[in-house]
Amino acid sequence: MNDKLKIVAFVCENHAMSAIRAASTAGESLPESIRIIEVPCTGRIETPQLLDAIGDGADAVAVIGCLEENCYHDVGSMLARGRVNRIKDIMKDISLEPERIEMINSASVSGAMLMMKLRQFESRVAAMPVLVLKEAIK
Amino acid sequence: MIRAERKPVSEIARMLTGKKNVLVVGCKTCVAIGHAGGEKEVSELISALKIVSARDGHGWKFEQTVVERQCEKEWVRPIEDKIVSADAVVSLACGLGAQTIADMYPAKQVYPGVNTMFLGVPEEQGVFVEKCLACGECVMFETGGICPVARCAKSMRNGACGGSADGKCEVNLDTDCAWYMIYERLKLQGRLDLIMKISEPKDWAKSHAGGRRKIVRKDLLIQPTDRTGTEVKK
Repeated sequence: MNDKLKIVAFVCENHAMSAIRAASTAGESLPESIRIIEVPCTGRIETPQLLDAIGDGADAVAVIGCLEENCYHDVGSMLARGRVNRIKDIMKDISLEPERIEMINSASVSGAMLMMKLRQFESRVAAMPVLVLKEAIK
Repeated sequence: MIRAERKPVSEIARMLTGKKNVLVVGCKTCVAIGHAGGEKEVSELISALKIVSARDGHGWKFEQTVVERQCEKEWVRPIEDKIVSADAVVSLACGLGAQTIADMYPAKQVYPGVNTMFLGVPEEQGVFVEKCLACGECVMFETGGICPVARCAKSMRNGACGGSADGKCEVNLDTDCAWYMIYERLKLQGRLDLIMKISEPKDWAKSHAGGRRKIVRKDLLIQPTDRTGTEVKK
């Protein structure tokens, strides 16, 4: 794995964060490349924030929300999925790999499964070409 | 309201090749309500263009602003300093907003960041549909409040045509047949006699086919007069 890999994870403070805490309590640790940004609801993350994470140097972005059928804020995860898909379209448009951004849903009791999905995501990102931004984003 | 769609970021990026200071101007009216060119969309576009700039070495510096109504000079004038100091202006307003800036500052290169699509309404969250063609001669008084010009694929004045089946249009089976809807509406209102009325061919000269149109409200004009009370041309 690339030691310098950086993946920004926007994590909903409800079911998704509970899942991460539960997995940590059970002895699982987050992949090293993951930087967590806890948010009240994934439905409040706007598209510029997702793009700015890439623009500011992240190799990939994960948006981790509740299961859609059990979202703490009812439609938050659905809204987040729509925005993630919109960013995938923009990334395709500007010739970046759309797989650099993923929506991951998790129940609070599925910590181990969430950790596995994150490890798989990290492996997929590590296999991608290194994203070189030629100048610092101002 | 006027509905628009943002152009692909790659297309906007091509327009900006060779530029340095780029001003992206949104509008708080139609395109903001329609999620095409409001404050959020301005930020989104800049975030995407910053990635392109950093990756491809364009060196673009961005400034962003959003005006109340970009189609009116009064709202554009306050951002004159920003327009003047930019190499290029990307307008996320409709074609009216972009042309207002371009006409006010003819030496400035103004690029459209959206494709202006149609006059439409939100049908459900995230879905906008065309309902008016701005044809210059509204006929909805005899079609139950449904516009056959905009909502019939053939803009027929007498319908339905032979391509209507099960209430759907042959041009697109996802689209309701406007004339079927008109029939149902008139039936509901007890005005089915109107469906039997043969309408004269539409006068398309009142639409864009007659050239660029203009509305003059004389009472709003500020028109000086001479001593005899005769209007003097400014």
